[in-house]
Amino acid sequence: MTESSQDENITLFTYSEIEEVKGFIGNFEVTIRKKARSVDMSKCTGCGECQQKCPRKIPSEFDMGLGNRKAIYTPFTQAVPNVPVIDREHCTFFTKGKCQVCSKVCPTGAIDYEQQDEFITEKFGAIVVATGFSPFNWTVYGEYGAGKFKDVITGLHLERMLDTSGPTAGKVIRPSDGKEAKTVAFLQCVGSRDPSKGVPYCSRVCCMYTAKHALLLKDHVPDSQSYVFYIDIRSPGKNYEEFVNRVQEESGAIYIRGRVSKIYQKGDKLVVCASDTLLGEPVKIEADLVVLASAMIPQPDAKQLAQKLKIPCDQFGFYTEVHPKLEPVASVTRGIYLTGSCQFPKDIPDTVAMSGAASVGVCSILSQDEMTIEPRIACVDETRCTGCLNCIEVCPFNAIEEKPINGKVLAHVIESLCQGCGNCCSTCRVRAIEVRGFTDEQLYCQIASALEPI
Amino acid sequence: MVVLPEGEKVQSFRNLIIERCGEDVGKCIQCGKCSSGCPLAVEMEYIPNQIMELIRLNQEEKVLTSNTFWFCASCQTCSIRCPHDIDIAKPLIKVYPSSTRSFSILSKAMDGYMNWEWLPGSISQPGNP
Repeated sequence: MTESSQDENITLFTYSEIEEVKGFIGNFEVTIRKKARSVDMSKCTGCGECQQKCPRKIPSEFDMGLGNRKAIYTPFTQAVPNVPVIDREHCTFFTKGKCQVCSKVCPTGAIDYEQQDEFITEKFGAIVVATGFSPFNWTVYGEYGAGKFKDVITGLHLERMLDTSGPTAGKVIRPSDGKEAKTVAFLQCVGSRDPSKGVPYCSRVCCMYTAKHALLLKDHVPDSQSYVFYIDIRSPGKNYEEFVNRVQEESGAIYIRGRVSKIYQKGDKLVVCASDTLLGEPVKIEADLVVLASAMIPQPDAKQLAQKLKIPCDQFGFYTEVHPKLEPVASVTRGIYLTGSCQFPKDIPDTVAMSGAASVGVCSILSQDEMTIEPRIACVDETRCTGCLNCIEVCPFNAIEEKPINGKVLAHVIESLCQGCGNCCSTCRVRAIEVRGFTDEQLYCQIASALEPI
Repeated sequence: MVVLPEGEKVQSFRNLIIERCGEDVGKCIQCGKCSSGCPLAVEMEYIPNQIMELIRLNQEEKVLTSNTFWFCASCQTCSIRCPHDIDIAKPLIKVYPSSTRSFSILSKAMDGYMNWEWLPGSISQPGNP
């Protein structure tokens, strides 16, 4: 990350959002909103004095609420750039009008409470979308306590606890009483493969990270015992199956096939009830900690971003590619590439591979002066066009623009954007717009010869 | 209902089997090939793959009181066919008779059916009743 921030050919816009995207492949015009950081990036040296002195403590999002952060903060220690941001919702100065400790302690005077959102418009040749995923809200499961049991956590919580520089310094504890967890139940497919909860797909990474957690748990707490409740172990990948087998043999994790039916509290323990479907018998364990492998779902604003970028997405909000096998990283809108979990749940090796493919796709566009495009695109017969411009409304790719010719405003097809779908042709009342190779005349001839008696 | 013990205690029966005959049921992937090939599985209370699962879940009493061992013909089809090279018949043939605990449990199970005192010698020498 640091390397990319120092590269002279890379400009990072952090703490920024896309407001509007105009144009087409090679000529994207993107309006970026640089959110008010309240810290002057050119003055800040990243000394961290402000973060130490800030009196306000807020549960840290990065540490899943297990630790605290200040109102002026960087999300995590390795964050790039190492410039903090003031959380205006929680900052005492912004909420109550008093404090200003950070500006008093800042040796360079970088704190700027008056800073406003800044809008900049820049031109880009291509776009790679890598907005990632968000975790599924598992509290919809009443049978797992609906969030009431403190010791029912998700894999991300455990991941933070296993981090030696994390909020618990590598100790695996029960959030309710801070005691070390000895018996840990891992529940897989929480949300995933559950159409009744709106997530029918497999989240793909949970089997492997649960196996990793079981192994790490044994390292961190040697006298612990983990139970993994699964439906199927999905471990397709290089050395994945071997890894899962190693976890079962070495760390002694007990894999039980069956989804957990309910969790209830008994004393300070959590009783996990399931059925071992291989044995055909119900199973019960008293666990200290329950770790849920909750599903991966798209970002909450994924569909709005799709509208801004004019790229299609599926019913869940995952962006769709041109072809799942032949063009897995290109979106239907030319010049926009997809990578990471914004497309579908992906693990790290897949994300790295597809990011490489996406960046090569971008390079192949930017390295040429001219582009070869598909010949089957719409073209306007300017002698016929009346300028009603109904075609602009129906074009899903925004490939038609207005063009003034001899005092009239007529339709004009942007060739690099047109995908040849034919929506405009069927809408045009005067047949002024036609797809090359699929003119009305050609289609009528085809129909006529198909209907000819043999 | 199988109630699983807390902490590491759950590994004790599995470790006992490893100690006695060197076979680790932790390797079992529950494919069921052993049970589907077993000529006597239809008669068994717990079929071979369920025995593997029960050992893994530390259900010593359930394993030792089941009738599986009495129907096992020691044909070793299960061991030969296991894709993970677990000698399934070994725990069934060797561990069961040589476990002193199994006799006390067995004595209760067999009480009233037959005089079981001849069993220890008989089983430990040929290997299977």
